[in-house]
Amino acid sequence: MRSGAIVLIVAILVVSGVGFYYVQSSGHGQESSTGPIKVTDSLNRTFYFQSPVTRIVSIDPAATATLYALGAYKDLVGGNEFDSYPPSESIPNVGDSYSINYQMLVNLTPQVVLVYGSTFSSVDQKINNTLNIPVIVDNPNSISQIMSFTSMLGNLTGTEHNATLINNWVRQSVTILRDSVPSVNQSSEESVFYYLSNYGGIWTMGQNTFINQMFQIAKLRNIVSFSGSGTINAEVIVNQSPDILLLDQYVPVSAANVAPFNETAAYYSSPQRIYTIFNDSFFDEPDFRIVYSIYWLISTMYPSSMPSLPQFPIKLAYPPTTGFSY
Amino acid sequence: MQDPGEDSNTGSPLVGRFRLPLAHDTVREIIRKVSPIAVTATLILLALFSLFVGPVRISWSSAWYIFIAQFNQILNSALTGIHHVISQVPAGVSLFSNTGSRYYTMPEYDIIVQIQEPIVLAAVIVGAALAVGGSTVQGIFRNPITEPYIIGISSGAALGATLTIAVPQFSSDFGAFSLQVNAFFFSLLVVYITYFTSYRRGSVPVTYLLLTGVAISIFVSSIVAFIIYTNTRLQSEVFFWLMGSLQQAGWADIYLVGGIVGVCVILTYMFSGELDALQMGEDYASSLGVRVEFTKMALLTLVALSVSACVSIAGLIGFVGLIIPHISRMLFGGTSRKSIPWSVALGAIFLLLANDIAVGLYAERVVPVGIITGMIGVPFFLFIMYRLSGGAYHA
Repeated sequence: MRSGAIVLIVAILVVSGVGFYYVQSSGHGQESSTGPIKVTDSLNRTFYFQSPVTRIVSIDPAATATLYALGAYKDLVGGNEFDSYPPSESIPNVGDSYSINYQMLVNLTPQVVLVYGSTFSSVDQKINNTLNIPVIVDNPNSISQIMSFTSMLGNLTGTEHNATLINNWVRQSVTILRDSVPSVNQSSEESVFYYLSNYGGIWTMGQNTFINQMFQIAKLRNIVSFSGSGTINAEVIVNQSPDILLLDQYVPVSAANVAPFNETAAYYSSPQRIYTIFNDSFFDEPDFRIVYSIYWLISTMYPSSMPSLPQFPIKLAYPPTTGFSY
Repeated sequence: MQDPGEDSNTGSPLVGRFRLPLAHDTVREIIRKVSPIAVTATLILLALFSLFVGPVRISWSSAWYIFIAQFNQILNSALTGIHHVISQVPAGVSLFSNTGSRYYTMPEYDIIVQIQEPIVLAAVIVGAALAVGGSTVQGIFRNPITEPYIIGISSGAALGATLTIAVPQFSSDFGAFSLQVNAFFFSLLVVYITYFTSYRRGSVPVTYLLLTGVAISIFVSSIVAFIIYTNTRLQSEVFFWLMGSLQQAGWADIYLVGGIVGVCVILTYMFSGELDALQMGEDYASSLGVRVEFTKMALLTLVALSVSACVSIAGLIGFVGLIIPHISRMLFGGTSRKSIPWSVALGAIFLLLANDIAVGLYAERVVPVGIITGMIGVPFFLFIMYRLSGGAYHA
């Protein structure tokens, strides 16, 4: 038995070693190393394409919305669980950032897959390295990064002109919105807390996020000092006592009636300054529709300021105001 | 050395006490003879069937031509490699006609070759490793409710995986395989810390080892929880990783982990006589000439190596290591010489089945397989325990 086992072990080791070497040396990535179209994602990875791509799978709702606005929705062959704009999506759904149906993905023969920054690295690795489909990661933390991503998608799909129009519209709108806010000293800015989720703690968005930048444009001071998203200690909320409390669409209003929120200035002011955001896909997805979120924020906080936004430059079957209400 | 054998009826809670409670010895004998053939046939057929489970329908004829194309590709690659060494060997040859490429599309080829085959093989490898690991650990601890994760493998692997995602320094050295490599080495590290912390005056008492394993696992899990808490980006990723999935498996994983598991299972099988003796008690094993401490350490090392390798590619898949060894003993008897090889087959079948359910449950989504193993494994195990154990679990 012993000699047979040794032969078997040697055979297994040889097959494993040769097989692993072969797989590793067979190369990855079907994208060209050169080409007229060059795009760089948020991980600083550069991809080259010979021509505008016409088969895209988006696992990023913001990318789906942007492609639609660019006029490149026809190039989208697969979407994701959380796509909300345009409404009535009819393309196949391949999953979300946490769970991808790889069979369906491969069957759609995409030239590129767009994912959001929180997508699992293992998903990225499987699509990029094993299935040899380029994966472009989007992770904007500011309005300028949102505009860069729009430009990149325009470049990728051959809709650069529309991307420029959209970015100009965003830039112009943000200027109008910023100018419409009554001037106040920085020290007298009202404080705000964004209650993102009550699942497993008090979740919020802190510094260095596009939501924080929205607050800055509306001359509101975010009471959260840490970067990115995370859970916050209830004592900080009581201690900072925000003047304004913003609730995400899926946080029940009753959550603001208990500690620590019932100890804040927002709760005690009359009328209470507790607001539920109108549509979290506008608020939480980093795309050009952020303009409407800022508009809603300013109009809500400063009712006397009702700025007039320029018309969206591209005519769409579903205008970007679809789902926006105030 | 005397083989404790399956007819022994005393001493071990695991050896020799399992009997199918059937009325006639003849029927029992038929079951005993048919079971190996049935299990082997089920494994092969289920593996083939599993290649076709998923939202994309691929015909058997397309799959046949894909297999031929794949075989020719492997053959040509092998011959090309040999041709570099021995020039007389032709660089390329096609044993079967490969004119069938018009019968399948490239997505169909990729789905079978790049997605389904690695997943099916991963189910076989991981199921086998967990089942053999469970069988071995239950034998060493003489405890029917232990499984391989008890000695710190799961918490160590979780620590390695979490550090890889949270700390950039941990993800730079091994490129795309950083998570797997770190999960593997951290689980080995925790197992050895557990082992050497349990060391008492020249030996490792199994009760100490068991309790130390539980304690250190909780300690390491707390560190993991702290890292996850301080890095919100990790929360969903680690959460899903902890639930176990075979969907990320690729060919590189299969070659690496398959090699490790294959060697470990064979070596474990070579220790089956010693393991049977250990199940009867360390004093008994020692009286038979078994080097008890060496055997325990060698077997735990093999379990740690194989299960860590599996955890590194599939996350934490529970219940396989707990229930499959019991089913194997019920069907094929309690000796390790039988329970180890049949645990390989039954573990593979169980995980293939669980993965098929995980993939087929929804049209588009894939449920983490660790959820399914618990959902189907526990009721199935309870049924087996009450109906087929023949009173073996009565105290």
